[in-house]
Amino acid sequence: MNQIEYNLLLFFKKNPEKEFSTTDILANIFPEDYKDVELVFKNQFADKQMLNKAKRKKGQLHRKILYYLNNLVEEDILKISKQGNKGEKYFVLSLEQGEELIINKSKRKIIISKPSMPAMPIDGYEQKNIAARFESATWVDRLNSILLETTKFKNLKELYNAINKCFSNINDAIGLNDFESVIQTNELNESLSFIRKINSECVDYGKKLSCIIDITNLEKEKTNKVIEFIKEYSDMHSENITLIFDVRSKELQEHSDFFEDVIDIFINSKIRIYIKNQDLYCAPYILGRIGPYCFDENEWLVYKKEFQKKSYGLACSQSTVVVDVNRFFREHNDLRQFRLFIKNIVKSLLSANSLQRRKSDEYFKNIVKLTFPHVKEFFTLSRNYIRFWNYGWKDPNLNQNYVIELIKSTKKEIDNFCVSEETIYKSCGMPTRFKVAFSCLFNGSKFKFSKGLFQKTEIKKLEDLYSKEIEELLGVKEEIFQAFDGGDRSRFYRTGKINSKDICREFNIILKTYKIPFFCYDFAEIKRADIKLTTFIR
Amino acid sequence: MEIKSETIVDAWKSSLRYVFESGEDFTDENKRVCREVLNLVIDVKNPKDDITRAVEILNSFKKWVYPPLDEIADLILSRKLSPTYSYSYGPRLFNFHNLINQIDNFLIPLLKRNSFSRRGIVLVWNPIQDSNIYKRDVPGLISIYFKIRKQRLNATIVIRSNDLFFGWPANLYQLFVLQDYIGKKLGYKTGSLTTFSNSAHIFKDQFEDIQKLISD
Repeated sequence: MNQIEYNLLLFFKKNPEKEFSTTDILANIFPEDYKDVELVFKNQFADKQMLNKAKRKKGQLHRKILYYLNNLVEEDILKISKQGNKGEKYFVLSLEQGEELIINKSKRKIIISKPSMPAMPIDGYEQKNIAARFESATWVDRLNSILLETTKFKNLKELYNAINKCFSNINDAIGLNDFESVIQTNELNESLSFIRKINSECVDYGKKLSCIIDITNLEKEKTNKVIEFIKEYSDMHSENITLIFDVRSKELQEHSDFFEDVIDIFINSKIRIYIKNQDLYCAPYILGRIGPYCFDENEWLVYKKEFQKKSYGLACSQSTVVVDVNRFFREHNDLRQFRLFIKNIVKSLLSANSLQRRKSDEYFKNIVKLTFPHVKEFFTLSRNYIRFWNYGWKDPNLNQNYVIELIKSTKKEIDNFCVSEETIYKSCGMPTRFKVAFSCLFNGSKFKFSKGLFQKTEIKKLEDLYSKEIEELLGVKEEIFQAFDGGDRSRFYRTGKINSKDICREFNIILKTYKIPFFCYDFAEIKRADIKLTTFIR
Repeated sequence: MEIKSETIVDAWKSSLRYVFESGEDFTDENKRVCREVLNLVIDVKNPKDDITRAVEILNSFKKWVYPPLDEIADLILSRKLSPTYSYSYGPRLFNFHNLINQIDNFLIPLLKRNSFSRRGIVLVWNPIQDSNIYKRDVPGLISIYFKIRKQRLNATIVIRSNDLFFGWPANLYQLFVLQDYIGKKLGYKTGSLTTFSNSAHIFKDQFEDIQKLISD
């Protein structure tokens, strides 16, 4: 067995459950060479010749490691788990849980085993594509989403490094709280360079990033800088980074000029604008690939009062199971069975959490390092998620109240179960947190689920928001927001004649009239001819 | 009050019956109605024979998921504090306040030197960390006493607050695992297990299940 092959196997033996990108593997197998190359890339005084040389070297190293990795794939020791957006391959051991791999080559023997995961009471539903574990390969050893407190980091470099390190401990999204401070306190070119760099990392690693802009902290004299930043951001057309405007209706009016400028930018770029209503819901929202994440509002208030100042951030979601409600009811037309099924999911999440707890310093190494000595506080607000797909929202054949009541009553049962579990664990001397939140699953998530039955909410003009049809629809949506304690999103497709003043008014109506804490306006379907000249020129 | 029994399950059911019938109700700080008996002693002569039985009975209700036995054992034997726990018994016993291994460096050498010693005490409660009125989670176990008598290692545990229905079976299992670990190192068989619960209580939410259990 060649030394490189041997080192590769030892590397995977140490981390039998983890998925690694070619770059991760490279950095671990050839640490010196990799460090040299990276130093050149980070060196702002490096000339073109040096950079070209470093690029060539990096290419050589990639080819070299890929040669061995591909051999191991051919021998069925490793498998390619996914390919990043730039084509970078990710590798995992080709092993099932509880299996053992004995590699015996020229006097060297390596035994690799994957710890067995207890049988879960949802395995049968997974086989029928009624339920699925989100990112099953990293279901236990990575968190779904976390929130980082940007104000705790001394500079952008420190924040960038933290995000980068956290990528290996999460499988979906990171929220950056108080991102307005990043824009306002740094030079524009610095924050732009940061966002471009982080966008490229998000693309490579397949992660989502939510930059939360709290309008309460917006400084009047710095609004131009923020607008410039947003303009450049919109030109990136990033699919991985979302700006979320956290605003109160009063603030929307106070900063109407700012918002009109911002809306113009989003209209012209035809990208979605996300608004969170701070009057209705004070905790942050994070957008992931599969849906929104949020916190329990009361717990957030305690965090804000007691820990926020010393905290680097918070875990938001630990593990997620997604459910195709439509397919479930096609197979089992039984409400009792549905409640039992959801309870089984919760039991599976409990097992996953038990493993996470016991191995947290190994699984979440980078996060533990980042948040030390406040590691426990980092996990104090985290929850597990059950996300529902095709649950009947806007399905004309279903009574909407019936759907909502089913979700609400099931949630009540699950909350009681979680309280019992916390009591049991506490009385056994293990005060642990176990919470499960309900939320929606976004369209476009790659699960083998039934075809989504939903209609678009289209707004053509301001008056539409007062139409009976929209009022009824949003009334139901308000109820769903209450049932989904893990967050939801209302998406409005804006078409017809458009200008930023009207959109600003529409936002104000939604913020003031409806109990919808989080919504987005989608400008993708507007036609150039419908954009008012003033908006276009701006 | 002292309840003496040969087996774990007998002791458990008798103590639950006693608290259910003779306890006094009050509402605790979490607004839960609780029935309590103060200073309850439960003495189990031969716990080894049915040490996991009470946990099995709890699991048979199928209403909840009891922690796996290896996680319960880990809590008392693992020297490492998981970053997600506010405290854990193992680190308190094996690395108290990052200063002393009470089991390997004190208790075992002490009992090896003098098997009749009355100083075989280990502490779980750490006033430096726990005597803090703002701290939410503090250990229920306070101290453990080990005595070698008639060639057997007997253990007594002092518990400040003890949920008899959900907590006691796990407490007994943890104590047994520790007793077994020390007994093997000393070369003595495990003997009796005694719990002294300063507040032995049950919660109203579980009255129905408790009634079912004690009437079986």
